[in-house]
Amino acid sequence: MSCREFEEKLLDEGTNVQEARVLSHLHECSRCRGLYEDLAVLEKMNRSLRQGVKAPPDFYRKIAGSSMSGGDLARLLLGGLASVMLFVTSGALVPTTSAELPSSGEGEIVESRRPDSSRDRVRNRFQREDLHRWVKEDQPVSSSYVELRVEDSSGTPVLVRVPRTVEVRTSNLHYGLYWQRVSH
Amino acid sequence: MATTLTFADNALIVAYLKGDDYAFQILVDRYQDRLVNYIYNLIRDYDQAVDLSQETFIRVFRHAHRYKGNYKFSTWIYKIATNLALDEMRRRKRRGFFLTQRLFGISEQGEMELQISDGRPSPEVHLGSKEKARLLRIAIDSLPPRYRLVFVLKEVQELSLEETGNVLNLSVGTVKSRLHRAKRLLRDKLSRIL
Repeated sequence: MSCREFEEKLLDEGTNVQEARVLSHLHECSRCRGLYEDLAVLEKMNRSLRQGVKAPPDFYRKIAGSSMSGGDLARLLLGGLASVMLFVTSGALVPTTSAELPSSGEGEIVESRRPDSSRDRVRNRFQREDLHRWVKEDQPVSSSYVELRVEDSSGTPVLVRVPRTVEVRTSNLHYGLYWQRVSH
Repeated sequence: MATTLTFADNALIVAYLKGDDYAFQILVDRYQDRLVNYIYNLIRDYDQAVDLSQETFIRVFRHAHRYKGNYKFSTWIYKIATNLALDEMRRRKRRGFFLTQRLFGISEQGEMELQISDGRPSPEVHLGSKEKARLLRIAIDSLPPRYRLVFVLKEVQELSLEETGNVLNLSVGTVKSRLHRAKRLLRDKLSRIL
């Protein structure tokens, strides 16, 4: 491999390139090793630019205010309020304050099953495909978990169990989608 | 073993168009940090980066019905953000930011020689990561926009070559050549700290 080929490869693919002929050239050529080392440092520095600058906590508020009609906004806010009230009145759950809940926008399925297939298969389906439609209201099974009967994108009914606490936090965005549907 | 439940971008757009506002909120949550970071790395003004990111989402919100799904949602949102950032860069240039740039040594072509004065640590001295990041930002800012855009999208935002090309309406070959040029320029500009 020539120095020119090596340089092109490195500039294209970065220093993670694992091809034997690239590594062999790297071992043999001190000039190219210098390039490799410089680019490796540059890549590390690039990573630092990905961190630190984040959106402010009230980022969504302005978008919602600018984009939605008054009715839309009221529906959104009332929907969240109604959801929380539903839990309060059900007596099945003491609502958790948002400060105690995970700040992450993602939720986890802690258990999933389908009567005619293995759990693993169901898990795999959830990893690959979107849950498509909630077909039945939540069934409280404990103070910590709730079971949901849902359909995946192929229309197959699946029973999943999710942590109950995340439902209360209407700003927990991934479960927000779920929330709106069960509260209607 | 726990499984993470996520919704694909396209599915969220479809849900939003069917009246599910929370679906849009999920998309905002998913992309807000990336967009603010991206625009900040182009214009170096945090408040303006936040404003432009919010404007990006507002445009997505208003024109969601136009999204056909023939390319990735992320490509679409980065395209809008890029156009807004470029408009802002042009506006700044018109308003006389170039005077400031000249004061700091940017040439007519938009390139700036990164001067590290003698008083600064020599290459043998280990610079802290914050100082290195600061120098890298100065070096990136000194790149001509055509190189800076490609570099930030591909190397900082970690988009693929194809997606970078789709965002900027460039062929993969052009993206590669601009990326090579950007890396070579940065290597030269940062030679004393690499």
